[in-house]
Amino acid sequence: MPVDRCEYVAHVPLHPEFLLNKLAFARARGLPLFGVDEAESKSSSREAKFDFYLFPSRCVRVQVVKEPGQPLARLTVTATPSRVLDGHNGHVLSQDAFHDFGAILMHYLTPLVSEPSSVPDLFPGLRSGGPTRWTYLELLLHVRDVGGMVFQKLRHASHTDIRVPSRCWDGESIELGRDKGNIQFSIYYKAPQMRKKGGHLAGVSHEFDDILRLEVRLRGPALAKYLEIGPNVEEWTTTTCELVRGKFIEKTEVEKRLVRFTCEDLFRALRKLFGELRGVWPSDMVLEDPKSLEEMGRFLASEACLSGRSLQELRSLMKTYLGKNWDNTGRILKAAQAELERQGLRFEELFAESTFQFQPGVSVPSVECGVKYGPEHIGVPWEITQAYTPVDQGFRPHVTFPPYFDCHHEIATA
Amino acid sequence: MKSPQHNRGGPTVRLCSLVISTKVRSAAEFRLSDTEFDRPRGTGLVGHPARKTSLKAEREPSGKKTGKMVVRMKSTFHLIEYGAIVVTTRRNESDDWIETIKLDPALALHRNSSHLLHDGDLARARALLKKLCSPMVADAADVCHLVPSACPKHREPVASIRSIDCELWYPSIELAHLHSLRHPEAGSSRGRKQNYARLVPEVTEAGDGVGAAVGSKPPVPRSSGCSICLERVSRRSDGLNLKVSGLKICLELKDDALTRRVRCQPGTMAKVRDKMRVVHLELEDVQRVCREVVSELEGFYLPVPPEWSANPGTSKLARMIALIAATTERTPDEVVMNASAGRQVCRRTARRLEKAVREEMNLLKKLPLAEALNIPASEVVDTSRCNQPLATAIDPQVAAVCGPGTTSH
Repeated sequence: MPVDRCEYVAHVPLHPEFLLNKLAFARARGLPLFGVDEAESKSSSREAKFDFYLFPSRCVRVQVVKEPGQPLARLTVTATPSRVLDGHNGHVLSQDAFHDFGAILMHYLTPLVSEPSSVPDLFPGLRSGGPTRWTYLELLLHVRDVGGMVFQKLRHASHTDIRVPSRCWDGESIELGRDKGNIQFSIYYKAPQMRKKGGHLAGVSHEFDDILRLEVRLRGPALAKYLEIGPNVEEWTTTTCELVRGKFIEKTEVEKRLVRFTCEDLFRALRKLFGELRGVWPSDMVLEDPKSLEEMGRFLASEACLSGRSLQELRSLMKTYLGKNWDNTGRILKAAQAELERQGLRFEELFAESTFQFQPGVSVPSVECGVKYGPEHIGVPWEITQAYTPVDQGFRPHVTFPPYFDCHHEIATA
Repeated sequence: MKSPQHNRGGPTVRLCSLVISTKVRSAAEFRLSDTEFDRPRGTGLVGHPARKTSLKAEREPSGKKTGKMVVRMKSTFHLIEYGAIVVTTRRNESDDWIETIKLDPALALHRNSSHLLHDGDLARARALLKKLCSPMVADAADVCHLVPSACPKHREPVASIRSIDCELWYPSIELAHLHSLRHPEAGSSRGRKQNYARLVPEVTEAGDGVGAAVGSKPPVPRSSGCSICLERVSRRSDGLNLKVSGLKICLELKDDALTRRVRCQPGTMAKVRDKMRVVHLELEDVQRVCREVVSELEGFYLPVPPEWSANPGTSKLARMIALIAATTERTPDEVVMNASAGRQVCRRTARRLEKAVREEMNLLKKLPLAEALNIPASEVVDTSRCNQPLATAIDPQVAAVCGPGTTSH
């Protein structure tokens, strides 16, 4: 399952004892609670508003908001599945490992729920028509980029839905899109990024330095837009009452919510999103501009490659200095983009089926062996397996085991 | 009247906040119930405090885990207004200790964060802080440890100024015209946005310089205690019917970075917790330190030539080449050669292009950044005072502490 950090929202009734004394409740039930942040509030209108963290690395954060008089509390769960299972996020998870992640989360969150009937609402997709839904997903693909060719070409990328120019940290990472936007692309070398964090990850081996992570962060409506396949998206109708000119008017809004997905859906979304990038892949763009503009565009494209600046950066520069007087900005840039696309990467090669199946990962054995709350003694609920497995998936023999499994197995045999 | 924060020879410097580091035991009643405690004493507590509880494995001095968990609790209280005086306490087994106090003098005194400070305002803010926080302290004798430099000579000082946060305002400079930004301590502006640039430390390969060598330390980002952000500001001032745009430099200096720069001033340093630390700062010191940091900024300022704005020109290509050559590491000859290579032009046309590029290059005037940022005070427009009805009225709480005749000017 090529997913990194993810976030979902659930509405469940919380145990009153937990709301009263979180630490004592967690201690009594053996929950791996490792932090509670009670936010400062300007008004006391909320009955409870706090965040709590699970596991020693605090890799699962649950934000709780409970309004007075409401039976259900709103839980916003933010977690990185690979950090829960391996202690770091250098691996690409398998489908089964994602099921394990769901099982672990359910296992430790279930004691917090006061009514057993609400337990399926703790994870999205387990109850059809339920209120729980995904709100943020990071999809990823790892590729080997020996020589940095893929990274250099992706520097000039742009996307039709993203207005802000890309940001680039030389030779390290590229970011396209706003931090809080619905779509954001992030392309970076995973191993150096992990080493920068320091601590246990400072010792990541240099043999993984050429692993390039192509990541897309989806939020809000973009989730439903790119992952709306089969039963993945459910429609949620909200009816509100508004007072307009002294009369109450009912207002009905239909929202599309992502409630489940499969590996194949995520791969398909990744292909679609990266396929929409401009200035990277060869396209059949036909230029109808005069030859001089085409030449200027070609010159700009070649300068973008030679000067170490992205086309977006050069565009900003031209806009700042030549401003209104540079009437043909759009057409010149289009020509430059066409030139870059002509020399671009081969999409079908980079996003081939085999690339998805055999993705390299960053391994840190010292961290993976230290994972304390693994999935060994937790059974995966059948609802999770059903929701996050393709309906028509045939028999898949186990050819690789997840790293945490190997690690624990080795310890046991030793 | 010109504000003392108007630098006599440069930009407006605004002290946003300063953080005081101390260690004073807080009152037991306050620990039990902060809101009940506040009611009769009038500490000016705002809203509900934020509490952070973290659990960590207890370790022996050798580093081995004991199997027990240590619970640590950190609470944050806001006094007068959100962000005006922020007191942070930490629970240590049985007691709560006041560890840091963040003071925004302008917000505390004038209820307006963008109000410029005047002579004596910092002293008034310190007095206000001391008055409001003293009921929180368990032992009345420890009140002197709330404010640095307030400690009597016979007692060992505990409080010091850990960091300062300032803003410098340049009304006539565009962020987009600043290039190759770098500061020896803060780093470079890689990955900058259109309207915002943060100087980030560069990763250095520690050890023997060969990062991958066995036994060498892994690369770590340099953390110098000096943080610089540059922001494009565009503000509409309704009172003056004027749109002001410019550059704001946000500067944070802490720990050693602050100590190093303040050290040369007499009366500002003292030995606190076995180390020389900053204990006293006046507005003039803050201005001097900020000016010093900004003067160390490397890079260049390249404004749009007036000829370019006035005259669209005939040779767009020449301007593009001149611009690329001026802002990247490529030489004009290299760029011209690249432009000619793809066009199959005759020698005469190439010579004409070279000449045009030379002319355009002459119009582009590069200025060192330190020089460009040293704008005379006469050009400074004080936008923060454009629409501030509160600016002239001193807060009643301040008046109560500093006397009824006090004014903000």
